[in-house]
Amino acid sequence: MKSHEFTIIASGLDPEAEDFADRFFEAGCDDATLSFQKGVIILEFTREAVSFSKAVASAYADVRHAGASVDRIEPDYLVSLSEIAERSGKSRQAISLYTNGERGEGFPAPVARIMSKHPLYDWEEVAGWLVERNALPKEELVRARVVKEANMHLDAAEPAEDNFVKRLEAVEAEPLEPA
Amino acid sequence: MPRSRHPDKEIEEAVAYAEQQGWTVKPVKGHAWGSLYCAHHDRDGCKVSVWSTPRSPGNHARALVRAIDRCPHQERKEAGDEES
Repeated sequence: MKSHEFTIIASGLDPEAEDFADRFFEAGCDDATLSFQKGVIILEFTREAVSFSKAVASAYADVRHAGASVDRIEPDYLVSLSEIAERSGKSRQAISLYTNGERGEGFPAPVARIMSKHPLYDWEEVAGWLVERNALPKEELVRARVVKEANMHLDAAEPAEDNFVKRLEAVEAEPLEPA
Repeated sequence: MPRSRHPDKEIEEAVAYAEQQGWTVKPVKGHAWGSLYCAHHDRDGCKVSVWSTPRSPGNHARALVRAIDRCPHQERKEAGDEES
């Protein structure tokens, strides 16, 4: 069994209620650190499971069992250049060389906040580009895809509970080809 | 009255770190040993739960430190933050 790290952003429970923490503990979230910050409930998991999909899907079920609704799985796919540096374990300067085309060609274009000083990139695209150049372990790309799929599921108007883990596992099992 | 110490050494270190950063420790009944509150004491303030018996004390202690460092109310040492 491997340890998988990810974060669930939740809502719908009062953080000042007496049973707030106990609800999560008793629902099986004793492998998560629970906090309330920036107006949202944050559960930072380190979960042992046979696969990343199983870890995410079981944590999702536990949080809902505690009575909260799941809003988001992090690390999310929109990333700044600093976050790209952090996630890939490289310096900010190294990432600048990639984006300027000074080291390798065709770094993915930003996908959001294009007009701002700090545009955002799609981590799945960036991870795919880095994996092709052996600058990132393949597992990171698989994780990026699973988290993106999970968030697409959460965005859907009526999430179908039962096929959640199957959907994530299908993405996790996909052969790695550039996005 | 001084607060009680957390029985796990690493978690106790994380709690002490929170106090150094200006956080307050409050004891809690139930599965949580206590709650940490950041210096910003209103409904927008940060609250972090400290478990008595987390599945992995080491992982919990490290996540506590990350949560404390994530507090948006803390004055940042490096002005301007990371984006440049």
